[in-house]
Amino acid sequence: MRAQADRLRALALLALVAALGTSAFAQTDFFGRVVSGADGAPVAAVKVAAELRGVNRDAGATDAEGRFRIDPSSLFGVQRRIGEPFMLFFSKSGFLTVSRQLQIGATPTEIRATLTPESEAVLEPAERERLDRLVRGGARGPLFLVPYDLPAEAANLSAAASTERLRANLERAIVTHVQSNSLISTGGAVGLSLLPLDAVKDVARLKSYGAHLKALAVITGFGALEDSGGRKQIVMSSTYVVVPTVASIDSFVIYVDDTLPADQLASPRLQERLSKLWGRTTVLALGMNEFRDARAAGDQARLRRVREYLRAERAGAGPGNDQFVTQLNRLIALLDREIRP
Amino acid sequence: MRVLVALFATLALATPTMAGEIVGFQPGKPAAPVLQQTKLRAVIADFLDPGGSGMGNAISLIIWREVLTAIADQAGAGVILAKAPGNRPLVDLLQERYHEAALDAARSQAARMAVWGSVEEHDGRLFVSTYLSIIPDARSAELMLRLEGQPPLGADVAAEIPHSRLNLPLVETKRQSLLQRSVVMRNGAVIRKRPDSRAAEVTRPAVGSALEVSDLVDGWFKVDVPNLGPGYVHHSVVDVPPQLVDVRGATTRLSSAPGGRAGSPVPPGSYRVVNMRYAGGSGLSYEIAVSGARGWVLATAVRPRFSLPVVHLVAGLYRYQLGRYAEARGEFEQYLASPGVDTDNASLAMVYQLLGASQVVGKDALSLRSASAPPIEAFTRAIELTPYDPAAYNLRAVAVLALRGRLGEMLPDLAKATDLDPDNPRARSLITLLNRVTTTGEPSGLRRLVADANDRQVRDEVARLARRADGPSQ
Repeated sequence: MRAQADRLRALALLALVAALGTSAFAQTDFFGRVVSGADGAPVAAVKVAAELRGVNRDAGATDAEGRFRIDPSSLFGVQRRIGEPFMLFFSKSGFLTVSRQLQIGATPTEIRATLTPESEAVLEPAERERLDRLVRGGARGPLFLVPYDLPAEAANLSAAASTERLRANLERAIVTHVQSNSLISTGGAVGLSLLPLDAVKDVARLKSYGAHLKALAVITGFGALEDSGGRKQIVMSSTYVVVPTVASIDSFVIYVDDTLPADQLASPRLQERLSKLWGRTTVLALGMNEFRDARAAGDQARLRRVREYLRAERAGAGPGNDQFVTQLNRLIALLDREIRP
Repeated sequence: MRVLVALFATLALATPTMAGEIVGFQPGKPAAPVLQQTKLRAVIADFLDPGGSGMGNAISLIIWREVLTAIADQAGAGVILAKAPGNRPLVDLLQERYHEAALDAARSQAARMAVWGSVEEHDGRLFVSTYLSIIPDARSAELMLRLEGQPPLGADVAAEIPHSRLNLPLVETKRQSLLQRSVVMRNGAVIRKRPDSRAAEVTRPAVGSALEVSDLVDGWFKVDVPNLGPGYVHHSVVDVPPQLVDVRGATTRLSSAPGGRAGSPVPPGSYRVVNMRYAGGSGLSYEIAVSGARGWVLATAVRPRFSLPVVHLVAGLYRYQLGRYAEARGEFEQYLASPGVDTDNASLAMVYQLLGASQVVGKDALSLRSASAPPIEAFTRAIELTPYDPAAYNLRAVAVLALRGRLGEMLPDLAKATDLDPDNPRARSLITLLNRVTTTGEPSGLRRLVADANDRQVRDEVARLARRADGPSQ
């Protein structure tokens, strides 16, 4: 009798554990492991960040086995939408940051992320030669645009035409923003050259391009079509990778997401919005050069001017520019340490 | 570096005060500057048109004609429309070097500034980006806040208005909204069947009559001639009034003729301009449509509203540089009242500085003491927008000196300017001058202006800043 009761209790406990386990599992949309590209070993303490609908959240870190679990609904406090784009970022000092563009699915998704050690972040020789040819062929830099990965049916222009239009508009906005800014001495012309490559979503690869080209920044983006109440719309994410020029600042990436009617891809308003932020981000990147040069020269006044500029940018950043403000804060904190009272 | 040169000068407009020319630019050709008899010139360059909307030329032409209208009363002012044969070289240069190419275009004509931009059409709407590039030399020569007084205050009581490359807001409009306007016939105006000088004549309208425009094709306005239908008139034989005028306050009166006896008051609001005319004695008048009726108002009693904000900014800069400060202020206010002007901090800061300066310069500094706070507010707004710029602090310091007459109130700004740039020549010379005033009482004009020159704390602070300014350059 007692043995039967024990068995029943054990069964009930098992059922409870199973139920709890299933429930916990059902709430986890993404889980997986982060390993090193060098030897395949799990990497612990990798910072995991997530981005949903333009909002970024810290999603914890990998455990000793390199494992992580993320439930976007609870992390962002929103209702789950099947098919919605979702970004994950894995970063750890000494490794190139990896991002993954995902979609929220009906069932949990397992992810394996491989971190490339910075020292091994090299390009294939053929790819390097291709980039070198572009530079020899007159690519202007120090900004480079990798073609956006856009669904063909979303553009009301050919892919080549819309890419070139985007490049021309972004370049004009960025360069005129830099030219009108008396703070920044560019030490030469600023131009945005198109890299005629296939679209690249891998931020680590974009950083490698930037490092190889000695670029200030590499810009790209992608879009996905979705159906919203019978209307086609495009969810577009643009990526601005700033290549570091200050040793104490890692390279950083700023993302801008837009959702717009599919036929509005070439809308000048969208391009204006992107251009404005990219112009400011470019000045921020050039500000890093100023910081580096002023620090090397021991020029306190110049450091103060850069700090005032960054503070003004922070004050005027407006909502929805969290990543931009985060980078501003990092740079301002560095300046605070350098500037004598 | 490729050189921009004038290829040909084709058009001299009939009204002497409306000095406009069209030039073509081509790399590698000898320069042929035009409008050299005018003291102050601006270049309007063909707009970039990356999507092939066909509106690039039309927009630059409209801006050119509107600027001409806006400065028609300014003796010594000229506007040059810079076109490229085949439209390519100048546009290509602008596309590669932006403000720098525009400045080259301005320099080749000894002009002080260049307007350029880009237009795109999307879903039936036009998106116009506009830029203004000011020759830096012109900026230091005339775009200054310089105090005046009796006895003279000395040339050092001044500050530069610093920026020279302005990025103006994106304007969203429609082709029809931009073109829907009246044009006023000049002597020699001929309406033709097609936009071609060899096409058959439709009619020769009376000088001063106005016709409604519905399109602009290769420099020809398409107009509707009553009882005769559509036709085309070349832009060189018409005047182009502003599309609207704003009436503020209750003092504007409607007349039955230009410069005629004032009649009924016009309620505040915006009114469509249907004609404009100069009348001896009273100057320019606009004919406007008010509640279905028409009548004339004096141009001095209203504020014109042009199709793009850049026209107001350029008109203000002309007036400022020609010493017409009160009118310049009105134009800067019209610019700042345009939607979306807060898109570029450095550019907006410059307009606020111009607005503040236009209320201070050209007057005896002592007479400004009764002025209220607005000029200082404008300079403060500029500092908020560009707190990293030493020139912004110098400007407010000079304005505070004029409006408050207290060194103690201007010294923090000079300290901040030298904090940001110890070598800043303007801040250093101002500090040196103030040190002279507090120690010797000279120059007497400036001494007369300040009330706290004997204040011990003020003298100590001036001396401290002067020691820092006299120190080795960093």
